[in-house]
Amino acid sequence: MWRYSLILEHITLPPPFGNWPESFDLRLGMTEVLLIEGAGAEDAETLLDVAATLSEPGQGQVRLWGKEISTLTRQELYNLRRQIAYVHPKQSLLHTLTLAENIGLGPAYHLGQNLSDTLREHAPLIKHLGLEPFLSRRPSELSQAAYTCALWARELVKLPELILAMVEESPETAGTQRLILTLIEEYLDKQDAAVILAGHSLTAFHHLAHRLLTLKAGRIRERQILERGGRPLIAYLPLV
Amino acid sequence: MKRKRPEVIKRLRPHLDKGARRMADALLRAPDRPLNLCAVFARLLLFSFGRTGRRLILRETIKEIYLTSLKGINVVIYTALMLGVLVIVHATQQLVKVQGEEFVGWLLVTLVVRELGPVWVAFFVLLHSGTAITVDLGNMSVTGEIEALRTMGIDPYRFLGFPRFWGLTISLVALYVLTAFIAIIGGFLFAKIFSDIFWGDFWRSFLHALEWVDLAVGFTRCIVFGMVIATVSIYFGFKPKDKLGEVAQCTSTGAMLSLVLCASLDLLVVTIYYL
Repeated sequence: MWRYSLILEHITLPPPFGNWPESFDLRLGMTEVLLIEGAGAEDAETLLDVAATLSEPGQGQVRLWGKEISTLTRQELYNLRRQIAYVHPKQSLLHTLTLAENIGLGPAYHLGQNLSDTLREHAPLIKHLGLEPFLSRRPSELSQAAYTCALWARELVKLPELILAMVEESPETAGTQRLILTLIEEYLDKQDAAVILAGHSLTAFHHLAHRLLTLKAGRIRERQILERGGRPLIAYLPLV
Repeated sequence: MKRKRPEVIKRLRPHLDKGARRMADALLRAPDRPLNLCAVFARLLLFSFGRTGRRLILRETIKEIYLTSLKGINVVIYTALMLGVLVIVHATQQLVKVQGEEFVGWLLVTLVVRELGPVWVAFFVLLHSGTAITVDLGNMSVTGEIEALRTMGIDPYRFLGFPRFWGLTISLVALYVLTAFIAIIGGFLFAKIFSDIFWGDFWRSFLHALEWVDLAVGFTRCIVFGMVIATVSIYFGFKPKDKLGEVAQCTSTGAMLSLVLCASLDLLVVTIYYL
């Protein structure tokens, strides 16, 4: 049995490095939730692309569930990606398909499942994300919030064992973020999965996390999660 | 992914002047395109068969056949008719002068069935579908839809490339049959208005001249053209990465390269035929 879902060993990310150190290690337990704060959209994309096997690292090794990805064939990589959910604001839905078809594409392709069966099976997820009224619409007809939710739905119908996501925290996306937060909580209650969430600020997700890393000026630092650990002494200063 | 320079070039590079450096880099990159095209062709032709997603892929293939064959069929019928009329009218007018009316069938077989027909249809398919495939896939590449497929564990070459490859090739063969049929039958009917030509003589002359090898050459050309146009269009469709401007550039380069490759392979087929 593997102890880690993802291991990045002496990894050098492909350019642009952004804020990432030149070389670093990262390990993610089988059911661990890891937050990486301080990562902008491009920083997150560079790391998550490598973790999702979509791009190769400049140097170092990437292991997913014990498998070194550079030794895998193309088909094995495609099979591996079926266990990974990857959500990033830059990702797209297929413009020629309706929202329902986009969500059902993965199961239809891999398992030969009917669209109606997929939608029935994942009805609670679709309902939770508020996508029911939009199922027959094309991606271009969706609001930004519905589009983001649709990306999550498309990825979670895979029943992934590893979730890689970039989360944007802003007043406009607060509602969507709350929805995603409860979605991840519910998903982790039902299914064992490891999660990496990257973003500028992930305060809302702190209670979910096992580990918190911050990325700043080319360095990664591990930080204590206040909700979980004891309060630092400095927090008592106002009382004094 | 950026291509790594071989060690020899890395060592030599600092000692070369700017022009020589560029030439060395260009030489290094020269085999890239033909090798990539061969790899894409092999992937589409040989390595894309499998059970996964068969139903979706079949649906996409039928859609591609519909878009290529049926959507522009009126243009094919019209141009085939014109081709047939021109060939038959001119042939009968000129052959009468040398008392060689019986050669009209031979001329039709040579021009419509063997030589001009496949080229005519390939040209139509290139303009109508080849460029459309490049633009469609190019836009999908730039907007991140190809990446989305890879994220879902779906091979884009299998899901998007394979149906277009076979759809375009099958359509080209079907359109060739239609063109030959329309050019001969329609051409004869129109030509009857302009000259004294009798169906019995015309048909006998045509059947007498038609051999299996003519049909084989015609079909071989169509299959070759179809595969070349599809491979080049798909290759250039997957090429753009960031900017929409790249799509236009790739479309024109792809169309030109398809023309050049079709002409070269046509020459090869003709050479083999006459050997």
